[in-house]
Amino acid sequence: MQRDHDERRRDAQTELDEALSALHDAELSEEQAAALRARVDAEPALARRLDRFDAVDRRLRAHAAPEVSGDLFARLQRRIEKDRSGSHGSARLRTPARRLLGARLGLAGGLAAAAALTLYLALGSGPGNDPAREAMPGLVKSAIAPEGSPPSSAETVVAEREAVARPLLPEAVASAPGIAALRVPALDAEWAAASDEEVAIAMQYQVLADLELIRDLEILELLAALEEVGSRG
Amino acid sequence: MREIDPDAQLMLAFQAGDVSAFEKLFERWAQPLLRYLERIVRDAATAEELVQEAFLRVHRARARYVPEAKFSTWLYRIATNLAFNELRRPRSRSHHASIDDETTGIQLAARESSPEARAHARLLGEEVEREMAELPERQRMALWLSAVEGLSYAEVAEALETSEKSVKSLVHRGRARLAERLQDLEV
Repeated sequence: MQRDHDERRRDAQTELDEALSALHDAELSEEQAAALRARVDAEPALARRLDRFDAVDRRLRAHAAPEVSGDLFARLQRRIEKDRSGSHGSARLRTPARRLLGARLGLAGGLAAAAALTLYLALGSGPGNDPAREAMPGLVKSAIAPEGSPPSSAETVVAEREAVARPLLPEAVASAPGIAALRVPALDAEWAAASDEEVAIAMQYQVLADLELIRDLEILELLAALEEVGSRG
Repeated sequence: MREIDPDAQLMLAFQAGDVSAFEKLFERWAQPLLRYLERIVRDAATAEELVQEAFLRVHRARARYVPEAKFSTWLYRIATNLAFNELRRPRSRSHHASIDDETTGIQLAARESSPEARAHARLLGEEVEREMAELPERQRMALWLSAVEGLSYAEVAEALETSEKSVKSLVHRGRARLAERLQDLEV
């Protein structure tokens, strides 16, 4: 009882503090801001807190950032030229290359999982109160592409699974409330486990070397969240 | 009709073949982007590489560009994803600590009057820097984009691919932690 009370008080305190931070950022509605400002005027502790938030921001803004090198644009232009001529040097893919593989393989498995989950839900066979949660672990596991799949077939498998799963994804996501709010780190284990041959395949995925990557990672994160919810369920 | 922001207009001009528009975008955004990325990856050289990479992505994407959000939000989103990639690289963690932690302290300290006040301000600056570096990545990103780069919560949400509610919480948690640290030092 006392613990509940303490917890509620802490929550209220956090909520108030969060609102102060939002007030500082001018992110409250006019009414909310006016009400909170009146409280701040009446309570010195809140005013001090607000001042402190301001002090933090001032210190952050005082950060001395490095200057952009004078030749950075020229270097960028050289890279663009290289990019145009189709020379995919190591610099271009140095950062994302190995991660792309993890992302791509994860995407294949994840999208397949979403498709399987959607079909499962559509059939209405989910046990328990929350069929999405009940259904996930097994489905996700079984849908992940088996390890050590022949590299030559990986691209085809990914393409096929994407084609089937993509249109079904929104429905799958909608079937599992709260998933969108969860954020999960990407798939480092898959990345680390990838062989050089697999990396070479990943490097061919030009589509993932640009903005597609962003969209795909978004989907990936969502699906990783699905998986996490499933493993907790 | 919704007004298109000037940067998006530049991007559209670039899309239509005006190469100088791309250079203008670079001139306008390279520095803020470098400041943001350096704060996240904590290494000036790596941050500069990522700035280059981000603009390369922009260049590659020109044909498909649609001004759905502010150009800067889109750019920060690309940069954020690149920073995440960089931070996840196994060998990258150790060298992301070479930032000149003292500079901020010095800069703030220079504004103080007495030598004691300057020393204290410098200490506070260093501590805030240190604490900032300890924040979880997303808190650090959200706080920086909001408090320093001046993005709205909606724009930060777009850049970090999350909800406004989550941004509100991320910014608050980061700021509250730094505020506690400042308070400890001032007592």
